[in-house]
Amino acid sequence: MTIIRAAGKKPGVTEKLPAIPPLIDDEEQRYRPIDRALLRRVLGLLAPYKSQYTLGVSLGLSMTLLDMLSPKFMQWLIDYGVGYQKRALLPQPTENGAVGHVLFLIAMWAICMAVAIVLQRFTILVMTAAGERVQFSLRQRLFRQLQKLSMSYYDKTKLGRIISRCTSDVNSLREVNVWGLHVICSNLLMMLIAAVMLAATTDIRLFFSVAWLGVVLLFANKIYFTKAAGMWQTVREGWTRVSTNMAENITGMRVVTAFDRQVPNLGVFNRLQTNNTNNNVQMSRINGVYQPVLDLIRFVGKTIILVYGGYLIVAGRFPPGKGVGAVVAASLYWDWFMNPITTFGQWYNMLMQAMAGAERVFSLLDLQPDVRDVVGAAPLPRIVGRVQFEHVTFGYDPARPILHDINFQAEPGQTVALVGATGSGKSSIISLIARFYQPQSGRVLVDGVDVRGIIGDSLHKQMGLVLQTNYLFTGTVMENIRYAKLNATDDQVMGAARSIGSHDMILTLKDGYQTDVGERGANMSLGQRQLICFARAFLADPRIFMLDEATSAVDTATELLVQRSLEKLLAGRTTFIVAHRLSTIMKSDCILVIDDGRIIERGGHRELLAHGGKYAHLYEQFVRQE
Amino acid sequence: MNQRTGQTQSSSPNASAPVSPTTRPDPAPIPRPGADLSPLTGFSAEHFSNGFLVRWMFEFLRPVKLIVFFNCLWICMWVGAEALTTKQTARVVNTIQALHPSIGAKTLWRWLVPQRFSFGDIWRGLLGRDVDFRYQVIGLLIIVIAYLIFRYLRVVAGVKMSMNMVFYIREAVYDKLQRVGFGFHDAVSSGQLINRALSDLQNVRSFVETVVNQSLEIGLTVGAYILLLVTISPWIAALSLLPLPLWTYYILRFSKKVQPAAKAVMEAEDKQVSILTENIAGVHVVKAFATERQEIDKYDANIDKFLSRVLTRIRLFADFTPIIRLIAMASHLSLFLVAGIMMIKGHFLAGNFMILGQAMGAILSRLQAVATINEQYQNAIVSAKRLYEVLHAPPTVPEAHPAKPLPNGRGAVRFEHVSFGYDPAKPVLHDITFEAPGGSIVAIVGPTGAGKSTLVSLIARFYDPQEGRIFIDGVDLRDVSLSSLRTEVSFVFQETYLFSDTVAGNIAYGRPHISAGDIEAAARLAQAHEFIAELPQGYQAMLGERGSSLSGGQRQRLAIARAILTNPRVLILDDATASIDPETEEMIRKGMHRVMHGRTTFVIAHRISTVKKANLVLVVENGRITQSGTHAELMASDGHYREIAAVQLFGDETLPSAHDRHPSHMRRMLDQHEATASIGASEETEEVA
Repeated sequence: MTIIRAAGKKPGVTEKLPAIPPLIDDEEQRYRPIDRALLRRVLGLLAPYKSQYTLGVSLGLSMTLLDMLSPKFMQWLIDYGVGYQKRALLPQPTENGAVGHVLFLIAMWAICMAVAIVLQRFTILVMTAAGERVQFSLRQRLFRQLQKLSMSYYDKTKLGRIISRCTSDVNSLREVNVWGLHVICSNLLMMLIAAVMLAATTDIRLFFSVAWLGVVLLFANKIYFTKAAGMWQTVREGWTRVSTNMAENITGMRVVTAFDRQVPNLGVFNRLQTNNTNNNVQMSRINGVYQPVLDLIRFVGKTIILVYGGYLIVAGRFPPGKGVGAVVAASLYWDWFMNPITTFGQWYNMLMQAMAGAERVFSLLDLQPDVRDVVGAAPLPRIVGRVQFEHVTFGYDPARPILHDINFQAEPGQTVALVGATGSGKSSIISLIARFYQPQSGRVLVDGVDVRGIIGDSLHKQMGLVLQTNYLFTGTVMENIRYAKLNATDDQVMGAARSIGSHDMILTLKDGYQTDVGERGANMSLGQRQLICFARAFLADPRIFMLDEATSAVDTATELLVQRSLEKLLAGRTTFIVAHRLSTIMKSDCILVIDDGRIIERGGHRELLAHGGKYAHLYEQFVRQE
Repeated sequence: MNQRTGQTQSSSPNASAPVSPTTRPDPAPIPRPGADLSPLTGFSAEHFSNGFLVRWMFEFLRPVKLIVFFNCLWICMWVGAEALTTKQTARVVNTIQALHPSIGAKTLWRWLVPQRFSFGDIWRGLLGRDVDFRYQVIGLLIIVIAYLIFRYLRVVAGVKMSMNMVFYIREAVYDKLQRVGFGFHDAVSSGQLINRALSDLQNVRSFVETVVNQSLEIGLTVGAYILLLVTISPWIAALSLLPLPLWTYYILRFSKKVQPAAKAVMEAEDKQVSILTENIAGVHVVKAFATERQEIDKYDANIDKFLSRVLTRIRLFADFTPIIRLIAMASHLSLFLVAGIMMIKGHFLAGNFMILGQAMGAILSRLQAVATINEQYQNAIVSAKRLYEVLHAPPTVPEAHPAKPLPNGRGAVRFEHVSFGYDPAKPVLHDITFEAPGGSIVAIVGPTGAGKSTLVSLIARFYDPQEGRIFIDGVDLRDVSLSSLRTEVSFVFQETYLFSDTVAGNIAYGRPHISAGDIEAAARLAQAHEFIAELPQGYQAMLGERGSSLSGGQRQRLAIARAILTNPRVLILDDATASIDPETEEMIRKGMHRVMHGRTTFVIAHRISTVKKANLVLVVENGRITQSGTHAELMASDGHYREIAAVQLFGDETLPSAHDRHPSHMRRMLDQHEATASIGASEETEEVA
């Protein structure tokens, strides 16, 4: 096998192995101790489906009861047969009568089982229907909550984390929500009935002579799950390292090739793999011991029952016609008694996972949005677009302000360029105008009204925003432009595109307006995405428009098109531009030079040049280069 | 991953009663297949027969033959011990049946402890000879312990086999992917490859593993229990075989029906995740247009579909479960009926009832695994094809045999009539010929998509040209060993890729013999030392997806430090400063003078200052070099350079011009540049000093 041989080549021995990079472990907790309040809250989720759950659990319990008759039928069958053979039945039936009785027993057994099967079907339907609905209503609540939260939440929280709230965390609750009640009730019933039957068919002393094994099993379970959880963590970490290394190597393959790192990389990878293998083997040892130990406890119990049952017969403690069948039934009931304990062990584990998930889900649901409409917020009437900042101080982290005491006023229809180095606070000003955040002190006024006192939606509807990313949603071009105004007709959408000059570009696309833009606009070029975003913003017809200018270059023809449509888009609107191009800056009515969160210079282009400050310096830098 | 939460396979509470299939409709994870690659890479495994692929998959077991042998051995022993346990339990019960009230009031203890102890009796108890009840029980315990030991050995050996097997496959895939060449990676997205390397491999692995383990287990278990039943009565054994085809048929049919339903659920779930992801990634847009309501509606519509698919799957499950359980019940009860009648008619012992229940339960539950094998087989065939395509893809840049190291030199680069296209039918570069003397700076200008990046990538031999030859210091690249070439030719890519490692680790990038001093020196040269020193842990700060985030300019400077660390004789800066703000760029620009010193540098230029410093400027348009020379020469000559340079180098940063007589804004740009050229020149001398 050529592949294996080629791969089997170990990295050269002369090369010192590179160090394995440390792993930053920011995995979220998988387990959480069971917490009464949390548990009650989880149960609260089930409350709206109380009647379904009651029905489901009662169906499940009836099914369990019928299922648990099986050992009893076995006992009757065996004892009848043995009794017949030993001629110990009173009165001793004829052979045909005996066969008839066997037939009767099997028929009864079959009926019980058949009913149990039917009950099981309905239990599944009722329980899952209720449980899944609980799950889905939780998903809906989470999504609604996410729509409500402010930008600050999204800045602080990684995308993956948010996704896992709505996926894996909700899924971790599934087992509990769907089957939790059923499993707890039916398993408790199983243990109870098994205990009673064990004592009733044989002897109460027999029950006590094996019941202690249940406690042993409980402890064995506990030890196993503690050990396994620790080991499982190690296994997961090891696996994360292997898969991350592999994924990184594939993604960064150009760098790997360019720097000829194949041999040492394989060395690192194989060491990670070896580690992973060892962890898994270690894990299998724990698992490998666990199952046999469970079985051993079970078999010890079974042996005790058989021996004790034998003794009961020898000692003549059984009434005539009862004997070996009862011993067999007892040994079967013993299984029924022990199984729930194992199930509870697994459930305890699952419950701890569910608790960890539930805690995260609830804490997301409990979050209050930082920015929300105050009580008595008024809708903003059609505005002319005057924007004022009055002594605005703001930081994403209040302890570290990013903007200090910002004051300015933009008149309706003015274009304001924000200039400054990366991280100086340009984008924060835009975010504050959009009311994505609240300033810690000072006021942001639109048409003289403090934005805090108005209904957010009424402000956002009159506002347009185009970011560098030029974000598009999966769907057609038409849908993406219409996104700004859902009730716009096709003609209105095309009209908007025509007005800013992107109509022709769109028509050159494969399916015109019906072209699929791909996931997040992946099928579109940068320039095309920009033009679509402009059309979208134009359709919204905002009074205030904010633009984070793209830095990446597009080809010349598109660039001209973009510039032209931008001019059309901005005409007559109050505009704020985070500017990266000198031409844009020079065309604007007012330039705010921002440095380290403060406006250090303001005014028109010529004014600032004459002033000879930072702007003039920056400008000189540009010019000198060219 | 490979966790085996052991399932109790024997002695379920239903051992005497019909086995039920899994009580809960838990979907088995269904592998998500990636797209088909063959049209992209030009290599397809589509024509291979399934038989070939299965054989190919089993080749993976070859390096772990010994472990496979032991794994199989333990499975045999384990199944044997399990059957014996059942048999012995039945013997004990049969003995109990034969017991008579005889000991009066003797206590349990006195009855149990034998008067004399003999190993011979234990042995006979194990063999099932007619011995004392107590010896039979001891025999039972011994068999049980043996059974448990084999079970343990089997679990551990199974994991060992699986892990070691996958080790070699993974290693092969990993090594293949990092050597196969750029052409392959251009054709296939990283996401697809990661999917392939992880999930396809997983599918193949679990199939091979399941076939080895499960088929052996099924075969042996069915065989062993049928044998046990034959010892009781051939009729009973025959009767027990009757429902098996029907049972297997329904199990397979069930899995066939459930699979599409489960797939539909999975699709809806994926859709839900993608709506969610889009919504969160585009949260700015959602908030800015105040379209939360509309987003909620979209999500709700999807989630309704999702729920209805989940419920459909459950309904399917609820429909099939009774049928399957009914078959199981019928097979059990018919056996019990016959056994009961046999008891009445003659001799049928109580313990044999236990064998019946146990045997039927074990056989039926093992046969359920047939469905698993079937599902895994289908997935594995698809996955194996894709894996085969990866593992057997021809390398796009083959190493010469014998390959010689690059001879010493100053890094002179020569292109001779080079033509190249990613797709040979669509050439990107046509007949490129030029010569760059060692130690020179070569600036490449031209519009987007003209082939600039392609041109420089040929120098590092990321691709081989279809026509023409490329020489470094007089040697054809195709004769040089890849490793020596790439140590001498360093690349700074358009987009900086950092690995999840420390800053120092990213600069040294896998070269362990490099000292901390060298790393720092390179970082200083690349103007990166200052910001690194400001990071919380300095050079030990973690980077990458989960590490500290750096700005574009900082990442770029790290990439430059990485590139110059080994002191390459050719340095290539591929559009390296395309997306950085001017101030950062200025900083890099200053550092670059020193970085470029003493080596041949190719730079895709954006700034006029760079072009002016270049010893050679290549104007690339539509895949051809249309002009070449120094900046001054080109400016003097009539050609497209002046216009291209204007657009390419200045973008649209129009400066107001005093010379309004020029109609085109491009012309204005050029004049502006000329007016300020002297300032740039003076700075240059300052830095060299």
